[in-house]
Amino acid sequence: MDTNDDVWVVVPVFNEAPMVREVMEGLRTHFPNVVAVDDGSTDASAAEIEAAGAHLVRHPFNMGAGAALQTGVNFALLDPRAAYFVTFDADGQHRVEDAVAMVERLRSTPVDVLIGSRFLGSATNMRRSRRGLLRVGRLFERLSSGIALTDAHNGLRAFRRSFAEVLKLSVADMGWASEFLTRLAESGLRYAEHPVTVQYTAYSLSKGQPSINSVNIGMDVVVNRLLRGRR
Amino acid sequence: MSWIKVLLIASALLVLVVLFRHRNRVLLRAGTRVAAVVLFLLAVVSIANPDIPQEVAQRVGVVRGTDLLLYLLVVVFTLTTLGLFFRLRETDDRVHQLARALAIQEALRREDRAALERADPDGDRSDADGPEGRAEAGQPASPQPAGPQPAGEVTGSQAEEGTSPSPAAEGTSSQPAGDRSATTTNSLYANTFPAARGKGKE
Repeated sequence: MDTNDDVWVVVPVFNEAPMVREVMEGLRTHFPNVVAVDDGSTDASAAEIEAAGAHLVRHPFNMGAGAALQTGVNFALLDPRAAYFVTFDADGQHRVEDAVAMVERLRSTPVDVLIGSRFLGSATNMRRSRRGLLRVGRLFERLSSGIALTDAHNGLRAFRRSFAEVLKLSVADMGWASEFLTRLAESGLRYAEHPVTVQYTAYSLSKGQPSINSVNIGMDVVVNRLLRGRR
Repeated sequence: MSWIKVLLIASALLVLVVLFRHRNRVLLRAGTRVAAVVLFLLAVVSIANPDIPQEVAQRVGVVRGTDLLLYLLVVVFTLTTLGLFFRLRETDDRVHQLARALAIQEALRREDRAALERADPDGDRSDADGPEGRAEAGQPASPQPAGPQPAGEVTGSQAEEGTSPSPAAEGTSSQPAGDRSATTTNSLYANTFPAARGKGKE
């Protein structure tokens, strides 16, 4: 098995104290380089991250999941050996095995970006409403970025350094998943989906985004799309 | 000429003065400034002689001059709000970039210091966190596996690493990487954390 020395796992964390340590420790059994970005948590998340032995970058205040992700990627890019990057959610909904398999696939095939898909794989305990919403989101992404995915809003993604260097997320909040795809479309890099399992636990359900927030996210994405190049 | 007219014209003048006094700070574009002057002239004219806006209103199909002013106000307000909105977005973006850079620097410094302490536990302790730092003296002095090290930033810890096993050898060791690093980094963060926490909270 690879030692995965050249892999960096980026985990945005916001108030995930009950779960984050377990997630970090799970990741660290397979990946020596894990950076958790504590996005201004008000609970014990940072202490839990340190207890798990991961690298910790602390935002001075809450800036949003997209900003945290970008911070983690920037941090990992400082390591010249970093060749592969994985984004992973801190609430325990992803499986480390899936991340390992995605890195293996990046190593063995010429694809540059892998996006996890719970619809190619499986999702346990997904609510019907969430499934419907994700379908709408999928259509939205297809229309806006031109990238057709079965699951456009999965936090588990793996990519090469070439993409990490062009990934400049300016959407600070949850809309980052959309901006990620826009950057991907612009970069012209090769991408594929990878079947993953998403475990909807009572914890992740309670922590997850309320569905209505998709309206906000959608509006933000549209505004950002309209404003591109205006800065 | 009634007193209200004097007051209104004076306040319009004040707006103009403020606008131009702060032109460097606000970075108003030339167009905006010309528009401001035009608006100012219009304001003075319509304050001095309210029949003129009344006449204009009737020409464009509005009954009262005050209604015309209201409509114009709505348009100007909307433009102002949008302008501020975009400005805020830009500012937010800059603040985020700044905070990100600071957060990363702080993390690197914290890891560097921890690496130094680990490599040389009895060395210079002037900037350590106090007696609890001693607890790690029993830890093996193995180098931190993969702190990102931007060139030229970490001369101190690199010098330390030269005296201990090379980091590159670590990756090929047969020991399960996760377990070993977990224990070393665990102690590594234990001392530095309280300081970091103090820094994070305002």
